[in-house]
Amino acid sequence: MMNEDDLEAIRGSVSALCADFPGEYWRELDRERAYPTAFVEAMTQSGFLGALIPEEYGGAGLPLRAACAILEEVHRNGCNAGAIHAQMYVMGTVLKHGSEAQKRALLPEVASGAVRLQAFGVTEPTSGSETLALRTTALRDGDDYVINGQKIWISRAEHSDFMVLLARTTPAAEVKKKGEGLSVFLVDMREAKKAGLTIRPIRTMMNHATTELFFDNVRIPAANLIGEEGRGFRYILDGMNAERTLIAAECLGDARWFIEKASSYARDRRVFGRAIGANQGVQFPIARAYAQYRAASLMVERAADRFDQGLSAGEEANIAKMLASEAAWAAGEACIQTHGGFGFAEEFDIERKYRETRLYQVAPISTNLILAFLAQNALDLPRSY
Amino acid sequence: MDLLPNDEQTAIVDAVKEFLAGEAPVDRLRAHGEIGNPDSALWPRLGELGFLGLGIAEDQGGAGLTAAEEVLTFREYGRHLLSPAILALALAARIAAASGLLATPELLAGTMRVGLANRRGPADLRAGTGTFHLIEAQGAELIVAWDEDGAALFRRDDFTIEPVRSTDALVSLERGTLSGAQPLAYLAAKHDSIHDRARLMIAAMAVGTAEGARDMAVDYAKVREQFGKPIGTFQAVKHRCAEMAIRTEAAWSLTAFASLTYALGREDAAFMATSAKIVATDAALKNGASNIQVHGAIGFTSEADAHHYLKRAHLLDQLGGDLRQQRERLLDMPSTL
Repeated sequence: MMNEDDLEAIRGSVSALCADFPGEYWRELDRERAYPTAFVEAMTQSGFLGALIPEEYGGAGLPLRAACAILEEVHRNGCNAGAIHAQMYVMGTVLKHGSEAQKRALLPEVASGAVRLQAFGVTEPTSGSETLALRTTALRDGDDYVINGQKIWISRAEHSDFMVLLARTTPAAEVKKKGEGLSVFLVDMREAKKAGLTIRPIRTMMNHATTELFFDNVRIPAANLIGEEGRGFRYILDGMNAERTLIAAECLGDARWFIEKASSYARDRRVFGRAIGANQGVQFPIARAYAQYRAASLMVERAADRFDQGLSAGEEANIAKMLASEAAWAAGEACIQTHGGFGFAEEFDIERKYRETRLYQVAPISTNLILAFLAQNALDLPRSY
Repeated sequence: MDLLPNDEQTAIVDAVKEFLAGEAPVDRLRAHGEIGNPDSALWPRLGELGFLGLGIAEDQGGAGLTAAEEVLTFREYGRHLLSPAILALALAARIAAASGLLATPELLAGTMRVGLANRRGPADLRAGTGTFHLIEAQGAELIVAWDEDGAALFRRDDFTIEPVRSTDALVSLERGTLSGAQPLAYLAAKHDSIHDRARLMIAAMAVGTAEGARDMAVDYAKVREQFGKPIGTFQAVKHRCAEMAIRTEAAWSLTAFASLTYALGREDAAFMATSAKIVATDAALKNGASNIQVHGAIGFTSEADAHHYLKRAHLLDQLGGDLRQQRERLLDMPSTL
């Protein structure tokens, strides 16, 4: 286990790295909707992205708590981890469920950054949040699987060498249990792009490299199946808890950034002869966001601790993501309102962060699905969908 | 459509305001004691002034006005937390007049007492079956019930009655069951959509309740001092009061507009009446809670009247179907957009 001093040291070095990537850097990328290559490079070189990979596979072997500290700090410094966080957690499916050979071949390369494994192919246009309704198929043909179908909202697909893909290997009508029949594969994107994979970028309201994928008879070696055929849904669910907790940590960072920015402006800006922060109408929303942030922060810690101890963390990870995304949004609202007109000016970075942090009430899972999960699993209420 | 009250309407409002200011200040409820209310004594006087038959045709003994005028008076009744028996009386008079019942003059005069039956589940009013919450029905001779199909008048004796304790101690509450009692009079909704009229009157009472709570909060914020100044100086309190004002303004605008669409028999009248009940009861509930918050600890005591507004808001919400049921009704309506 890491103590607070270790975490503080990590935060210090992340913060030092982020200092080289100030607001102007992100603003320029935002204008062009460009990938933050230099930032990704720096984070990779520093070894932060291999945080969760065990030392025996070339990583830092740090707990999720530490990875959370890294991502929170990135966001707290006004940067955005959307282009890097998946390199941390997508490998979890391979680590937990892959064969020793797959791990030996892939994890050291991911840890060093030589291979980018940061695409996670689950969502489809027709299935949305209903993962079990996905239609992309992977059919065994000799030593290969042949993949056909479509995926959407696949982040960083253009910047990934490998993707973890969920596809149906047994038709839904033929499985014994509802959650069966899906399998997880490692797809070498470099090869697939040459033979049947088309990637179409989707322009969004913020600078986030998301895409739509079309598989047209893409062949991948059968050796790229992770774990057992038909058990993929379960494997993916495991990985989602880490993802949700890490993204919750990013939201905490956003909340901190907004709160610090808003407080500082409210102290300095004078209207009607006094600091605007002297108005309850200004200071209370910031204070409320801070309270929300603190509460969410405890929940993120709790989720990460449980994950690190190998305990079930579904409930905690989901609550953490919901509370943290809402805390960040409340802080963003307070920040933009506190700044008045300046909040809308690009050079203050607030409007950019505001657009960016809005995503987390929708992705990687929407608030409604979290509430449905809690109602059903924590409260034993009837399934509502 | 003229959205502003005309001279006649203004005169009605002024008269009812003056009457209630003198005869029904909210602190009458405290003076009366912890249980019940003294309002049945007001009904004959309101009847004498002609307020109980506002929406009833002149040849039936009413004033020949519309739902718009009724709504104007019910807003004032709400502001003074008048017993909801006033609603029972107005609806009963309407059913009686339409059915040619002998009791019509007594109902218009306010000399006969009427309670409300609010459905608790499935009921068939024409067949006289179902279970109900009986509100302000103690001591009443008649009980009025209504639903989407129509409205009915029963005798109190038609019900098998069990006592129930009410959260709002100002209002009597019982549980009543009808097992095949023939209604004294029945008015089908296709002849007279009393249920939408009731929605408007309840919405108007809710607006008045929301306004009463707003005024009480604002008055207190001006006189109560903390840290050497009135608490209304603090934006957290001041802005809350402003929100209360915004809510009542929106609720009243909608309710007044809805009453005009109803009076004109417009196609959107049902939609507007339902919307008005939703927005107005929501305002009453929120202002009721806000008023307590502005009062701090004193707001929780029975000595302060704050709790009455919140309890009344909950009662009005329940009457004729709560917020959830009203929203469902709205969703089931054919789209007019």
